[in-house]
Amino acid sequence: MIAFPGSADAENTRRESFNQEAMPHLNGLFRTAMRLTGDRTRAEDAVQEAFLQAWKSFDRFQSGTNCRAWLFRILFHCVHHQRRKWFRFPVLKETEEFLEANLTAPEPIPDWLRDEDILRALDGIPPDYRSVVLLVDVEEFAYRDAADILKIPIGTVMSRLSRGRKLLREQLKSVAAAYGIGGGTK
Amino acid sequence: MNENDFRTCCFRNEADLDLYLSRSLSGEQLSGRELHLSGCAPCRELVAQRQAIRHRLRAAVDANAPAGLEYRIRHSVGGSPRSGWRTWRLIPVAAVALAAVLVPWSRQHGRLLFTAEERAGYIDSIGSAVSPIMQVGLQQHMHCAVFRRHDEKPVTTEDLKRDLGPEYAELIPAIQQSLPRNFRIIEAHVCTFRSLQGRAYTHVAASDGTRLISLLITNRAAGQAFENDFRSVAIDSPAPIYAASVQRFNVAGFETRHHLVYVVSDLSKEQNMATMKAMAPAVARVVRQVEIG
Repeated sequence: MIAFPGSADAENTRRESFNQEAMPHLNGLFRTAMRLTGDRTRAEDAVQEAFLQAWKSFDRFQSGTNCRAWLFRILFHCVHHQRRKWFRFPVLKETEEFLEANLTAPEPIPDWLRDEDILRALDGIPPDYRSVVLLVDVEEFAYRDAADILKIPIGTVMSRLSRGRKLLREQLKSVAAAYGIGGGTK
Repeated sequence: MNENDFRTCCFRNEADLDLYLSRSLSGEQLSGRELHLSGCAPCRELVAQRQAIRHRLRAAVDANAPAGLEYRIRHSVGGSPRSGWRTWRLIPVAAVALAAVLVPWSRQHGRLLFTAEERAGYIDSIGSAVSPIMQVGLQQHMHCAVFRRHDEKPVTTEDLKRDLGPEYAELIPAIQQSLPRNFRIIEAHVCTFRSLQGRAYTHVAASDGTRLISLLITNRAAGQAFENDFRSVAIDSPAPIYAASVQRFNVAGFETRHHLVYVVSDLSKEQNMATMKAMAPAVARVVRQVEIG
């Protein structure tokens, strides 16, 4: 059957294509939105808005290219827009510096730290660093894709990732220390 | 192990280590690091520790989108739900549209914005995608757990046992121990669902704040048997367990002589089955005691 543009068949074909390409990434977008917004309602709103925007611009998306990265780019745009709506003042950026620090000795995470402790530590690092940690360490995007999603240079991705990981380790130490175990180390 | 161990380390600095952990080195560089690691215990320990943090982080962040969110997105994209959503009975379009937007909102805000007819229509539409014997558990979960307002206050084990009644009270500790991490029991009661001819259920509902799990026990009608419609998917349990899925809901069920037992949730298929397998021994034992008693 030939689907003429604008016809019901064309619309259905487009919708099927969108469902196949985009919907499998729903969980990844939701968990990222949860960690970015810290609020389930806002996360759902952001994800729904992201999918709606993706659907509206689906004609411009090239099938076979990186749909996941494209969706995440839209999600970050939606979250940023949400932040501007909810907060009257812009979020202050931390000073960035490329970290060439010497390596530090390994400090294992105590096994008894719960998921909520890990999440509390993650939520404790500034959003700009948290975003990169989420994209690279959790969602396993390549540096180039993360740079494209966040619209920042690759060098900035690298520096924010280094700093973000370091801040996360420090936060985990603090969380462990709060349980009364010295420094969270053995 | 001390800082000196790292002065002669293969990794020049934190940025270099980060590149290795993110697998962002060239093939040659990666091979070089791997070769070094094979003979350097301090570096291996450092890499293992950093990788452990990543693994814990991924596990902690992992979450499924709520069932209602997918439905809302698919509906906002437009068109009636079809292919992949299996059978779809004719129900008023307005009721479906309303349900798609308001189910998650009404759950969250504890207000039942639907009319009874709209709720029934939505439950019918979901249930029509699974076999009748699976509908028995799935639809009650929708009716009594998804649509119901739940008290935010934690309930004690003694309250739950009292609410469940003496026959099944001993299930409460067993269920608590079988729940996935971060879940707690929020309701335990006996309930009915008019659409299913007033069938009564022993119902225990649990939540982690986002997702819901129901354990449901109900009488088995004459001629009802999972094996009529299914092959079992799990036989390493007290009874064969059967499974079905629709949208983001997963159902696992088994039968005893006179009862049907279900675990229904919006966990993944694997997690739902794992939860059922964890609960099945205790539940089967108690149900059989009830049947004898």
